[in-house]
Amino acid sequence: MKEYRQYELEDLVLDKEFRTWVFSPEAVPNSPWTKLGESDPAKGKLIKKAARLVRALEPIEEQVPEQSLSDLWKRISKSRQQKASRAIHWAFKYAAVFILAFSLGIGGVYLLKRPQFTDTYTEITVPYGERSQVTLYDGTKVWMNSGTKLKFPIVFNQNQRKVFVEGEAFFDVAKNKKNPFIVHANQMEIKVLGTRFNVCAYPDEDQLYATLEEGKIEAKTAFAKNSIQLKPGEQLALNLQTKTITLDRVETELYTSWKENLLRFQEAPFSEVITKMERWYDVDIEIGQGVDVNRKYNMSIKTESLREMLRLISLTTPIAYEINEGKVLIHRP
Amino acid sequence: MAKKKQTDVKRWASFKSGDDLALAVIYSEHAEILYKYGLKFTANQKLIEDTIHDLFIDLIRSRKTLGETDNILYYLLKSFRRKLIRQVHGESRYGEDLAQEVEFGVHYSIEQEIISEEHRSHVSRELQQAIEQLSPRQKEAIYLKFTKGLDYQEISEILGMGVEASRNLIYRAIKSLKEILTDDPNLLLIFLLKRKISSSLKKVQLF
Repeated sequence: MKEYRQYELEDLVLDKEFRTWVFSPEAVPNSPWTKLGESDPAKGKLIKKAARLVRALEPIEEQVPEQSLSDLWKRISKSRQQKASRAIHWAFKYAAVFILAFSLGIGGVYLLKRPQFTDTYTEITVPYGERSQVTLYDGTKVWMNSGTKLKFPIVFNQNQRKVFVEGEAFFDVAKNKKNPFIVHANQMEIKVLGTRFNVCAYPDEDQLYATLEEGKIEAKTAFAKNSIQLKPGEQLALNLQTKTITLDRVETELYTSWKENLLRFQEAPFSEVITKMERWYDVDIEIGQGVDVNRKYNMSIKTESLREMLRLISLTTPIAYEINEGKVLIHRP
Repeated sequence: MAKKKQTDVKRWASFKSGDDLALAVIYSEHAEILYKYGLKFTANQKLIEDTIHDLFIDLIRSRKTLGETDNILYYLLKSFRRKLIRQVHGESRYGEDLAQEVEFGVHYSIEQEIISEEHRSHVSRELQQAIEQLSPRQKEAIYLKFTKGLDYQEISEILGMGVEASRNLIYRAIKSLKEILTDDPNLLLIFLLKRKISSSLKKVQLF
């Protein structure tokens, strides 16, 4: 942990995490400053002054009407159209509507009827540290975990609904018996008619998972001729290294709780916990010498801060940690 | 943060390779930020809109030859500022004020605190005056660092000064404000209150 005891007022004010704490203490639970302020009155006074200065320097931002921004975007598309072909312009315009709706946080993206967009694929990427939900043209809901890319047609065609996923996504597929829904993830293709399931296929991992919560899915993989049928509560794991497939019964909730902002681990090795935390909190975590990465963890954590999560781990494990500008170093105490 | 940088690198690369959705995402994530930054230099909204328009048209036209970036926000702020200042100068050439200096100006939340009667303390007023007396460059550097999260290297590029100089600029500003904060009796009360007040009551300006 940083040596906040030696901090001067200037250092505090210039500390990004301190400024975050000043404006939203709930975002930095168990902050070192709360404790320091309580235990050392002189430091407490210094912290108060620094906090006051941080608040005083908070600018009042003018409001920009949403209308101005969308009008301006239309104007940019129009100026551009003078050079671009008509087809490109339309795609452009559509993307605008779609993305503005998305960025306004309307809770999901509702795509409008535009027949000319059949088979025109579009892509959403959810940054690390964030999660998102979209509603596709057919009403299928997709929850996307941190660092996930989803490619889907703006309008599905009549014969099949096919999407591509990289990362982790939970699908609640709208029922349509005539038109199967297909999820393509790396070396695996999952065919469904209407059901709820989770797909985990991060490009930096050797394992792909499909976990079925409800209904029926059919998984076709690059390593087997026949497709495999999954029943509710079953999980298909695909190892890209050994090219093996395993089918297991699992507690599906463990694999789908992320969409309720809940991080759950059951008998998970430390290395897995670390990878998930890196995506979840958008940080780089470095493991120092001598830390047991195979130690197993059981825990369930809801929307805790990174600091809180590390503290919980350090309570049960002999580790020490430092957080510095989006980087975490975990080492032996 | 590293992952944010990776996202920016990829998004910028997709935009450069002709992906219009990437462009739409870049616009939707940054247009408002640029607009608000522009309002710190001029109240002329038409001018700000023209500048954002020109900025994006230029980006689209030269997308293939643009450099790479791992911080799209910084890249846009920098180009936008350069264009805006040029525009403001161009505008004033035909106006009455020929030698108009384009300066960064910002209102701070402490002004609201002064207005609300109950916190009209001596220290608050002095602090507000001291903040107002910071140079436009100091105010802008603080804005870029605190509100936009830029690093000293990026700030120095935007303000056209050395990295060390931009660091000193901010450090000295804070040092000068520190002097004002004597032991104000209100402070203790405020701190004790703050610990009890939940985030839902945040609109009550305590500091």
